[in-house]
Amino acid sequence: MKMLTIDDSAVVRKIIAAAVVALGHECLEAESAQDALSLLEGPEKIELIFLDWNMPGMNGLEFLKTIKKNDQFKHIPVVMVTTENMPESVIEAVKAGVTHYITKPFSIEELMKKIIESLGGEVN
Amino acid sequence: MNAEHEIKKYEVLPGHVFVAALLETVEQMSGFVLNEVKNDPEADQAHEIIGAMVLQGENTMLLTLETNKKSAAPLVSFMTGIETAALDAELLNDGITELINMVGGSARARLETTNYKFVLSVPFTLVGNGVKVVVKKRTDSFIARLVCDEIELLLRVYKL
Repeated sequence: MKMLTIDDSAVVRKIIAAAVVALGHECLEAESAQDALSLLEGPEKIELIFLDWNMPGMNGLEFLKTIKKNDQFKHIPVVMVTTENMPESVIEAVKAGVTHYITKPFSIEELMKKIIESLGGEVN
Repeated sequence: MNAEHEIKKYEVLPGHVFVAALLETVEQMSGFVLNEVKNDPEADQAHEIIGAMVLQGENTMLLTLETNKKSAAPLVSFMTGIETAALDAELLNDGITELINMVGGSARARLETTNYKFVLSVPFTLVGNGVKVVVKKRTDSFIARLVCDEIELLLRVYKL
């Protein structure tokens, strides 16, 4: 299964990619929302997206709203991974269609749990 | 009185809040448990990487995290799972930038109902041998030195 992590921090992309690979999946990386849109429109079939909120150019919330309006991509679950930890931010993201919300800092265990849950699995 | 509108007033820079945020961030992201040790102002404090953020509010602050490549390497290695030898300068700088970003975000939530409530700037990094931040004399500031094995981090908060 192919997943996509979108974050302007290379370190965060590597952390998420390592968790995805550890769970037996493949992880593509995009350092901006614009690059991510190009990837989505390409041949790769993306089945889960990890999305930062604060990025130069199009921010994560704008990206989320964009793909949720697109019939081709709106079914893809999105996990927001962000330092935006205020309740109003979480509510705004949920209203926009985010599947799960992880605030930074996070543990690798929490990240893996959200990946499994996003794919419809159960976590003990 | 509605408890939601009670504002806690700090008379001095709430440096301990930033220390708690840093301890939690480093432990969650890398597994390292830092210890705060007495800062020796006479010790060599020349660093190579400074992650920084401006915290804008009623009490505007500059938050910095100073370190060197030797300390950043194990931190970023344990965060990413990439061996230290494979980490380039860009990843080390990015790792420190991301840590200060997370510390700022965590501290913002902790200080939301105080007179030190703030909004965050974009994080940025200063790099170079002996790089340092110089502020005007008598600027109110807080400093904490945190260590774990070969890792040494200097957290500073300046009231601007």
